[in-house]
Amino acid sequence: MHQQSEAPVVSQVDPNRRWWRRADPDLARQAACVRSIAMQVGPPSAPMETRREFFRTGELTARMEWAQRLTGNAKAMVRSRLERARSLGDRRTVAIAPTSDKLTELLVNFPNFAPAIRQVQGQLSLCQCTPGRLLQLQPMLIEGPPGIGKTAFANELAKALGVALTRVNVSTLSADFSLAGLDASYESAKPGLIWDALDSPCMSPIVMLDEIDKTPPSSASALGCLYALLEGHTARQFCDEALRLPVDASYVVWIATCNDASLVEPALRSRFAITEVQAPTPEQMPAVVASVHQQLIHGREWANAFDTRLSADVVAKLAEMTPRQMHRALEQAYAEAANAGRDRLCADDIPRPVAESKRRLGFLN
Amino acid sequence: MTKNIQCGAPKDSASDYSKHIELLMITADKVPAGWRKTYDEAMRGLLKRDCASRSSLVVSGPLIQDGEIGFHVSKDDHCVAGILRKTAARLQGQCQVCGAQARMRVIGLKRRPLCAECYAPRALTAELTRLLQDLKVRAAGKSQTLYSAHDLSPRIRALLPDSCWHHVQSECGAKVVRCIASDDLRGMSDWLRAIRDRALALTSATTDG
Repeated sequence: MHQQSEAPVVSQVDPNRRWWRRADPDLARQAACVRSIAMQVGPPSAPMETRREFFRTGELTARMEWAQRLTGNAKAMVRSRLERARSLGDRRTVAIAPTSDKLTELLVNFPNFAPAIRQVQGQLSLCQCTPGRLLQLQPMLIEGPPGIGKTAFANELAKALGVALTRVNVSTLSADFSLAGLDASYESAKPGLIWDALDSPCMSPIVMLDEIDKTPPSSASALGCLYALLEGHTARQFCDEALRLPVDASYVVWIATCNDASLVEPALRSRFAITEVQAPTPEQMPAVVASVHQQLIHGREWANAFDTRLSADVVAKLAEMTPRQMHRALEQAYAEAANAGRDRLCADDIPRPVAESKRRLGFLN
Repeated sequence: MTKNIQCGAPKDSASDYSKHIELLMITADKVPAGWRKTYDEAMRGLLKRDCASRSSLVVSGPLIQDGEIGFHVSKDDHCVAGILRKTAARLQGQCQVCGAQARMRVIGLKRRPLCAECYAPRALTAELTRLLQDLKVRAAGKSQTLYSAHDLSPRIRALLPDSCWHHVQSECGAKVVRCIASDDLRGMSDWLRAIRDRALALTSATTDG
């Protein structure tokens, strides 16, 4: 009875170890025993092994031989990209999932993103339960009104997770091959944005699909490759059209943003965990103002010339705007203050928000 | 159903035979814990077979060597020898630690019957010790080696996550071999050491006899 209950677990955990059960039930019991000892020890304090096979060396050799037979510009491009893949190695690093409390600061700066942050925190906690604590997050679609800081949030999330972010503006995708590459039989062949995002020592970049609900009709099929990429098992064999080297893209973290999730193609939408984010409430606004202000002045040399503390009336005036308007208004306000020879912002420096949606063109009434 | 197990007329007082058997029962602490129940049953069976014809029969032992138990019987007695032979055969398939059904295993230079659950931590301790030493030697020599799946014991293979393995094509290109780099194993050495210590602690906690 004991053996029967253990064996399926063995085969579920690792299909390569099915031979335990087939060959010898005694070995299956030994394996179960050994794993229970390992569980008592728990996951290693230092990352046990954070590298995973990105591609098979045999496949790369085959692609290199294939590249030799290509002609024209494509040959040089394909060879150089495959050489780069070889130099980066067949095994690449997968990011280690930070503990969920690493996102607490995000919660302070982006209080209106609490549902999205909680979702990521939950998944990070799950990652902590795995032996390698490798970062693997469900694709997430953030839906919310324009200008509430979705892109800024994704940037900050990437920083908190310690991974690189590749932003793909879906609304400006010019061609079908933008994401998955252009076939090497074309003279202008080149790898797509997904390959570019993976062309690094780390296998777990964040790919942010911005404004996914605004796909231009001319390049609607450009998102076709996402059907496979957003599913873990099919993403393990992602093939760029130009290079045709199957690589493991299952550790990519996908974050998409949109204003209206109903405009996203249903099959694509179903692959995401949708999180609705609202504009910040008046109570949340001071934190948002502080966050936007910090983002603006961070790394700007001119900020040293100012006393960057914001007075209550400045904050109150900024709190009436969306984060995007706030960013623009703050920049203008600092320019205004510099013009006036002041080193601190006053409420009058803040321009009035323009109600963009109510702006009328044509004749004035 | 009753069975006459006495081979001759019963004796009123304790014979030398019984004294020898009782002595064997007293010295049962030599017998591994997992074997004790079967051993005691056998001794009780021998006691019941005390009769006048066996008064001078001397049964001595037990001699435990190479995973087997042996006794010395002073003269030819089919009944007693049969019980002892059957007991010895039964104990060969019984775990010395827990008494469960077992197989004869080899750990180091010793052979002993152990069940899978008692054998795995003992074997793992020895195998991990060897592997860690090997890694240390290779690190000192600054040599990077690929361990194929067959170079590692089934128990160590069961420990290592599947994602650690490389798939390397053999020279002739016909076969894909699962390998793990010594550097990767070295990266896990603290963890492997902790598992070895845990396995060792588990085996020390159980009485082997």
